[in-house]
Amino acid sequence: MNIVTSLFAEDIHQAREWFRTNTFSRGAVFASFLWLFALVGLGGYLLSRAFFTNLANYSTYGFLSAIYLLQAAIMVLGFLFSLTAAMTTVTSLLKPTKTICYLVTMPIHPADIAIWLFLKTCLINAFFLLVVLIPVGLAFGQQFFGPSLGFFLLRFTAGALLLVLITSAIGGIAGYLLALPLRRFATYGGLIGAACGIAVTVGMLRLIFPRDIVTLYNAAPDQFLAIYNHLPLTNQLFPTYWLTDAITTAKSQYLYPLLLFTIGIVGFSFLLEARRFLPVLQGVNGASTARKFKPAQAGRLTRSNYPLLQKDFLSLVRSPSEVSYGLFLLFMGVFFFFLLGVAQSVRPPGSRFAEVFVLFVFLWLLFFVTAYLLRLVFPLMAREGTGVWYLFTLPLKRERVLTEKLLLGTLLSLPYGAMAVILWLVFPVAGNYVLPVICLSLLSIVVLAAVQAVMGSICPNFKEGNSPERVSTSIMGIVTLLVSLLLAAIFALLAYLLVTGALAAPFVLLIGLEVGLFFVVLFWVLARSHLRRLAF
Amino acid sequence: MPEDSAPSPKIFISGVSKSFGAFRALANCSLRVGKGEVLALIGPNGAGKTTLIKILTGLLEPTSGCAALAGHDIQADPIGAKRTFGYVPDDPTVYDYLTGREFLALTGRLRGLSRSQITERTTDLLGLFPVKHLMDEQMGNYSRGNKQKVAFLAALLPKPDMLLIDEPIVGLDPESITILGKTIREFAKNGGTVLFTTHILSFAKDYADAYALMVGGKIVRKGRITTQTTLDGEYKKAVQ
Repeated sequence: MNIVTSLFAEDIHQAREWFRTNTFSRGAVFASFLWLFALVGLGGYLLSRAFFTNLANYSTYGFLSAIYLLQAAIMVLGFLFSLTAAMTTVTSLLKPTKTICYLVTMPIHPADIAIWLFLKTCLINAFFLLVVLIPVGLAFGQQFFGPSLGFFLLRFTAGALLLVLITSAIGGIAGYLLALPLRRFATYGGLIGAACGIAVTVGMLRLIFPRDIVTLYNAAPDQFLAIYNHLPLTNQLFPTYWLTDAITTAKSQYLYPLLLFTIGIVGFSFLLEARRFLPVLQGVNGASTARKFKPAQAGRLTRSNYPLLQKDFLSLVRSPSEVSYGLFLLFMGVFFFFLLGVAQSVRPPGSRFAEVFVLFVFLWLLFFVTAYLLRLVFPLMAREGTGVWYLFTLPLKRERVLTEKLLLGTLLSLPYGAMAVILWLVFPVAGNYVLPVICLSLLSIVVLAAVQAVMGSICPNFKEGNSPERVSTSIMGIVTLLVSLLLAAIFALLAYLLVTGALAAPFVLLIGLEVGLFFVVLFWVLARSHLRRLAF
Repeated sequence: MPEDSAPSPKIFISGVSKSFGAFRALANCSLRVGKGEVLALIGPNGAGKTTLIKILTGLLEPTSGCAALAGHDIQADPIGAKRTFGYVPDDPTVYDYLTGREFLALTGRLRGLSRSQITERTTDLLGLFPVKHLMDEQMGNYSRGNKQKVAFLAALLPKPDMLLIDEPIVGLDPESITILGKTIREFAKNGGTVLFTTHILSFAKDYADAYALMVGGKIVRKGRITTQTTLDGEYKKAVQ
């Protein structure tokens, strides 16, 4: 355990050192993240508060519905955090950091390294889970546990921490089981992972939203309980049911089964990770990764009018982690809008609701687009990495490099463009606004892609080119995120003005085009100027 | 070394200085390398050899002075200057996700070669080093030496006038060192100009016509390499 403590002490030391150099800019990055999380938490709280207040009007049935939603939220978050923990574990095994490689060569028991990694995953999950779940719990407690709010929050926080342990353990187990197959089937690893993810999601959605649930909305009071008690999620064999019960009941009979379940799964995960850490690490790094391609593949490059674009495209599609991440983010979008579709289908589509709904969907769509682009498009220039000498010793104008990055960025945004078209055809938008809303969505997605591709070429972080996630969370990444959110807000406002009839469609599209052009040209000029001065 | 008055040197460096903040990496360096000549830039670690070669390739801007390749000033006419040389850096890492063949194809395309020219040149060059069996594998799996070889082939692909090579033999096996040395000589014999940096004095002596010795950011000695030249002695004297 001394080793684990020392490793954590070193992490803290490194964090301090990180702040010691460039304290101001790094402090700004840190503060920006805190603000972002605070905003997410506040948003979650306000939405939940409004929702639970509304449900409270239906007395017992409202309370039961709220508990059901809480249980569904625990299940969804549990799934997402297990997935995140699995991805973190797989990444640390497939792409071990220099620190891990160094530690493996030291006379340290591999179990210590595995436990240190597991606890780090728990801490990260705890932070994000608390940011998302605590505001919901606070809103829930204020509405239904007013007099004993403090005690409820204590139970809720303890429950959330148990969820962290359970999800980290499940994710860890899945990560250790998947690492070797993913390395062996690197080409299709991302696709197989995404397919499994979609299958589990569909199964979970069927669990949370069975067909019977629709009948609940119009059920008579005497029928309500009968239907409610037969919903799959209220099955008392589910650990999510135990957890919800332990949170919402002072002396829950499910507390001990829950604790036993947690100890069991965490213990199993600990044992598996401690025993399998070294064999899996050796296995994945010893497995042949040599991929052969047909000579004809090279022929495509000799014909291409956009060889740089093609090269960058290959850099993405041949990287299983990038493919998986792209698919994961796309899948998150599909998942969210599917849930939203189910939720909105039971609301009376009044005109006011439809207008606000368009604004809501537009904002979320652009938020997902921003997250996706920030990970895949923004780092395109930085991904040149330490091989950047090659590009800048070629007889090419640096603008050409920028142009091809921009074109690829736009192409990569197409899946979200397709999703936008489907969304507006499915969701309730007044017929005469469907086409203009689709056009505005496509315009905003293309603008966001272009802005991110170009902004990624201002101060690209070539040293971190092999870690796009670090590039995305650099200072320039944060600035790009803020600019993208500003653009998203502008475009969402334009969409709202369009569907409320405040502005005519051609006018809205013209303003959108002008705003987009302004930002793209502005950052293009800055990026071009920076690239011209770039030295290595 | 050609005299300063020699007409139109292929590589021309005049009064080049480079500072990184308060640190002066290069101080008033001047050098000329003529057509068909191989010049070895030698010196201890931190002497400024890589900085000088990076200024020649346009990767760094000099604080003062100028550098030109085949008459094209690298700062004023970078595209013109870059058309004339092939470059191999000390760390030859490029695109791990591309195969060696794709990398050569990309280089050819970006250098403006036609499809048939790329195919023909690739076939010719693959006879140079024993790397044919690797060419359809991703470069991420290559050893450092094999990456170096492919980077060298890519530099030769467009038939440049000049080769600029930073530490050409680091990571190469003895057989490949000989092949590389002979290729450099052959390239020079056909009218090409070569500038390479190295720590290995025996390699410089075997394959270069002339040398420039750098210490502390300055070129402290230049001369032709003959059978009588003892680079070892020159090097020790200058460093001391």
